[in-house]
Amino acid sequence: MSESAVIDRFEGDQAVLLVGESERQAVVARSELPKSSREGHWLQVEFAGGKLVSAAIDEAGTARAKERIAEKLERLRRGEHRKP
Amino acid sequence: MRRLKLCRGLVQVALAVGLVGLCALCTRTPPPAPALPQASPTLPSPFPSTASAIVTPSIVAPTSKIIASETAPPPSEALVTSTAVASAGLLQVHFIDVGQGDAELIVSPEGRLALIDGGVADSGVLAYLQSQGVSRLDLVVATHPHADHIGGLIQVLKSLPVAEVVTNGQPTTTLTYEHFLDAIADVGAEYVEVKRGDTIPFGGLAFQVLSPPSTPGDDLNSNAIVLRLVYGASSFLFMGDADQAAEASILLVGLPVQADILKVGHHGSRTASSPAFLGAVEPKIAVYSAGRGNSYGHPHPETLEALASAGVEVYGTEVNGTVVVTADSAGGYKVEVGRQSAPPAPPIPGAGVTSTAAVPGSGGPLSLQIISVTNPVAPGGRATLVAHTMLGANCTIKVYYKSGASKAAGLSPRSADANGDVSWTWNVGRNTTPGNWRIVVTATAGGETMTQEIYFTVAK
Repeated sequence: MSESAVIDRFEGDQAVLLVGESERQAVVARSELPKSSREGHWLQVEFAGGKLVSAAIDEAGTARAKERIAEKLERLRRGEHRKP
Repeated sequence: MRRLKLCRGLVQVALAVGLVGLCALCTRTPPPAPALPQASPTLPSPFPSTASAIVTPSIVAPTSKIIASETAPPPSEALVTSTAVASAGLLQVHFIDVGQGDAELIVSPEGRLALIDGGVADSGVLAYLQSQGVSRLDLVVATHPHADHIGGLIQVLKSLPVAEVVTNGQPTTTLTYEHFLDAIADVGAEYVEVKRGDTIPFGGLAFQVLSPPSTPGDDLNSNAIVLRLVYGASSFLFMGDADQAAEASILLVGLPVQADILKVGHHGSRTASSPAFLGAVEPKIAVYSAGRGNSYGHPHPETLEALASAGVEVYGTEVNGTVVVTADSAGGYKVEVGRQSAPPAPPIPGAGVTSTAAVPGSGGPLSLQIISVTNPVAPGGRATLVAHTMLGANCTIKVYYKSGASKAAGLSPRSADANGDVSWTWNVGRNTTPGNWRIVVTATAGGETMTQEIYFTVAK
């Protein structure tokens, strides 16, 4: 079953993925991810028996998250969330 | 195992040196006597009974330049100052054991409360704060947006009144980060971004922001907020996950970095703590925060060796649990540890185990055992799997038939109960292909996940 994951960070040769809606943590070898993977990339991943069997960068998903979060950050910067 | 032994040995040596050092200082150091011994009978102690060493080094008060802030406002006056953990005349820093992550609680002499980072989402940081009588926070600092630093802050923001949240303004794309932003918005906390040269007022004290620079690069660790806190002759340096590039940049601009107590950068990773930087900081005590048996080998032996060769007393949350340093303004300080050495080694993990992890508050490693499963089971029958793990661990189960993963009701994620037990009961469909089918169980706590597998037979 393919699911969404995001690369939270790299730790040496390893990558820390946050998988699915609940963002459960999975640590995988960096070499198992596409070469152009960067922190913050969204991926489509497939695990079988706890092992990563496929991973592909989801450029559109990454762009969507970036845009959505940038808007939320701008609202905080403008102080729109502050109660009167 | 070699790493753990080395680390444990270091701490034992460090403790011994600390005690010997205490005696040596008592005989060698001339008056005036520091304030701490007089104040110590009323020191708040976070631990029921722990060994502690009061060390009273004679140090020269560092020269520091407070740079006026253009961004950080004065702390909110609307919040009542807590007295639960404050002690007049003393600054207290709790390096909280959150497994693999970072979290530090700072209590100012007048009772202002700041939290730097919060570990992962289920790190136990909120429970620790509550156990210390913390009912609100004046300041929350997210050093950078990685999940092992901001995950636990979401629950803190939702549960305690927080006046101000400080970040470096560098975003990431994870849902964890998005939920962190949502939580700030929902609770209406003041949102402030800082950079090098800014000052964050903290009661009568102030955090000096040493990093990130005003034109940061892309690397999230490298841009972590680095804070220096000076209280009279006592000084603390909080490195977040700042790496050697950040250290070099800080040294290059010539900001004061000297600190008696160093929160070691990046969980003791070799990416941080360059000899040049340690030489400039001249710490007497260093505390790193790392989860036991973490997947990354933190702390790395190079870092421990660099600290040891610089003559620094080293404490680590994976060995010592939560470490509390109480300092007075005369340069005296006291270190209290949750435990003196690492808990016993975990049992040898069985097949399918991917990792072990320290679980905050439990003092033990994450474990996972499959106790029983209905076997065999007929198509159309019901199966039950029972597993044992840590109290409160988040558990999932997947059952793989020929047709793929089962979507049966009853296989939803759940938390282990107070005894660490968790079980699932589900229907095996009438049309299930007979055979030996794999079941995968995972348990997650303290930011680490373990997996166990078992096969069961479906037979007519």
